[in-house]
Amino acid sequence: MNCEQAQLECLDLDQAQGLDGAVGELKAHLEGCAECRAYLRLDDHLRALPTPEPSPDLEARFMARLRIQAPPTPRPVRVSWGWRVSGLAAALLLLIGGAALDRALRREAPRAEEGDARMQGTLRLVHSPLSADRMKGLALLDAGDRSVQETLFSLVERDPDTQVRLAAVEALYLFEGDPRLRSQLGAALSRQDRPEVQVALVDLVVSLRERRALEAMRRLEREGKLSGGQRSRVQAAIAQLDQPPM
Amino acid sequence: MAHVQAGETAHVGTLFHRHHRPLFGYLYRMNGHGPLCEDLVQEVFLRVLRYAHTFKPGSAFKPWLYQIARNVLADHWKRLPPEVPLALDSAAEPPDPDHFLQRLEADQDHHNLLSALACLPRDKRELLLLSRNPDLSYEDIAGLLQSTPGAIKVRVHRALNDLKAVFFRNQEVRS
Ligand SMILES: [Zn+2]
Repeated sequence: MNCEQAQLECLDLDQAQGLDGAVGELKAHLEGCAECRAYLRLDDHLRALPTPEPSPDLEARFMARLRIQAPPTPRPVRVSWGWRVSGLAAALLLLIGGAALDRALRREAPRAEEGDARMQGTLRLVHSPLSADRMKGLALLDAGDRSVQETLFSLVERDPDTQVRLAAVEALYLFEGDPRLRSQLGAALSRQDRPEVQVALVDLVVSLRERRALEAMRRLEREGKLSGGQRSRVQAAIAQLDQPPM
Repeated sequence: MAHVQAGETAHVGTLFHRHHRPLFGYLYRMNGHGPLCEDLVQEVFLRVLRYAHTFKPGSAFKPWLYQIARNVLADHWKRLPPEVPLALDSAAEPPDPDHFLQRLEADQDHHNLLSALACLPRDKRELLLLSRNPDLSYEDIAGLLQSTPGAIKVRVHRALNDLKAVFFRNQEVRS
């Protein structure tokens, strides 16, 4: 292995493990090559650069601007599963849920009745045995459907499909103004057994600055089965929550 | 219809809440001016609202967001004089690795690394920032820059070596 090959392989090493993450030929090369060790160290430093913070009122300023600049009301379009939603609202829901939700939404779904039946239809989807349907149900929830928080938490905890759990965590952001959500986050994190979902919950905790979940995060950091990258993300989150709010 | 309208605003608000900090970080490292970057971040999310209908089914959100951010940055740079290219002396001796490491480890607050990063040409700086962003994979970046993951890795590798050279050169000039 020459230096160029070694350095290219270094680019794939896990940030938190650094030199310890190298195995086999790469490890042997790094042990004998100061040039490549310096290269790896530079990459570590680059990855460890702190993220600059915007001013604390940026979000409030943006929300004010959004209210003024909201686009003209789009015409309602009929989507394949028979509910009338605005095309833009549907697109934005897809963005929030990401690609997994989108893949689910493109599948054909049973027709649901309009009006009051909508909520029922959404919940039926959320409880469907098909994970594609559950994803679809999650994409259709909105912040008015407060009673579904419990359902979301149970999907986060027990759904067999990790993508559905992650989508349920995304859907919890819709309830971020609700104190009941905040009070349950620590417990949800303690009960969670999948690292990807644990990290998504930690992101939610940080975004809500829910310091009551700190204990669960510390436990996760000490005892969780996390990869190096996931662990350093949890450590950064703990450090962020430990700071007094600005 | 009013509630749908309000719903859309809330959705963009949710996206802003989740993603504006890392995006600000990227924009800030790209041009180093806080108030300007705050304007740019807002412009990015207004475009998210405006162009939501162009979001491609089956693709991921973050690369799409960064594509919009790159367009916003490019529009901003169009209004500025062109960049002066960085002159790196390719004939110069590569830094002695132990000497380099000493300098790097002494750079506790990353001040010197940040100024070296700021000296790199925009495209290389961008490549390093995007590729060291934990939310974007080499595949995502290849999609953004219309390249392949393998080619992106090679470019990241070259940019890192340039960063190393600039870092060392700046230190030598100062000492
Ligand atoms: Zn080497």
